[in-house]
Amino acid sequence: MRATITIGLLMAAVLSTPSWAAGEAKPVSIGRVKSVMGTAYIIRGQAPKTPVKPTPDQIAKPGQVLLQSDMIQTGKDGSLGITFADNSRFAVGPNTNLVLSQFEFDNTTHRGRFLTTVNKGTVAINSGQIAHENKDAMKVRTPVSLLAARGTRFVVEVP
Amino acid sequence: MALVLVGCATAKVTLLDNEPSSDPNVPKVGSVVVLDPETGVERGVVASADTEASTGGHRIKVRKSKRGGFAQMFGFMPPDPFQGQLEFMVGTTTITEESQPVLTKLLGLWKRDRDVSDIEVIGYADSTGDPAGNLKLSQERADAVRDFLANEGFEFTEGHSLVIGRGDVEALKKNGPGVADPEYRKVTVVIR
Repeated sequence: MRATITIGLLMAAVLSTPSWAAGEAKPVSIGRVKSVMGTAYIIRGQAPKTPVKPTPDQIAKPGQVLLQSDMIQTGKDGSLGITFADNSRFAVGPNTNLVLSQFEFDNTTHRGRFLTTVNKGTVAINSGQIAHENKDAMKVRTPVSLLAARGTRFVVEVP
Repeated sequence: MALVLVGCATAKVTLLDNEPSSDPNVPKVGSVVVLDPETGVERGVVASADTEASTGGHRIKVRKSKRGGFAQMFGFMPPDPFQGQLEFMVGTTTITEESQPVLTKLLGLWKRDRDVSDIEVIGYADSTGDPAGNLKLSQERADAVRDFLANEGFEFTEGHSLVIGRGDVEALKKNGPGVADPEYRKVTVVIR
């Protein structure tokens, strides 16, 4: 392995890499599917509030980008691991239906808002920078309550 | 007369210890505040590890969790993102000897998880010199790390990578102008 890094000035100007927010009209990636087991779907665009019958092109894949408003649905044998742009992480359990309702994150200030709606099932959550930097900015909505996470690791179950 | 049966809907929250962290700002356990979904009125707080509460009533009752640590669920939790800091020699894009092990660790982690990773490389500069020059230097530092990692096989694709210089803004906030603080001669790298 090369031991040190010394780079010329010209390379820097030529090779600047675009950021996630490079194009305003482009949907902004809020996270990625890291692992999938069994039956799991990502349902995009006008996600309804209740479980739906997904199509084969909605099968979740490791590495898949997630967007705000995506619905995640798992079958009785399904599980999903997700890492978000603020370093929050989810483990989504079997028979779960949830929607990534709101995700806004400034990666300079680490401020933002994160709302997940769990309609059914189980999700384990490791909160990230949004919850660490802003009191009550990371929330989970269930059919009967609203949960505000304050820098923590927790599990939500909705029968 | 029609008989209406109303189901007693509920949802349960269980709080656990945080994962061990080298960051002293991360508490051993956080908390979850339970709010009324319509009014936002607080119903209670779950603030001890291995406790749980049903969240549907007007007030919550926190009890010891019977379920245990949800080992199977957390087995599917992605690993904690790698967060490393590379320090640089004054006014250069050359990293210090002390930062070499960070680079080695970073490469190893990425190779384990290469297909599903996002990477963030952010350059900084201390507050000596002029802000325009520091912005340029911080970008050059970020680009230097990016080029090194690209040579090692990292793929910096649009939408999954962020490589920027943030100049001396943070250093100025903490120290004011003209302070040669090594804490800000750095590039931070996050792989998630």
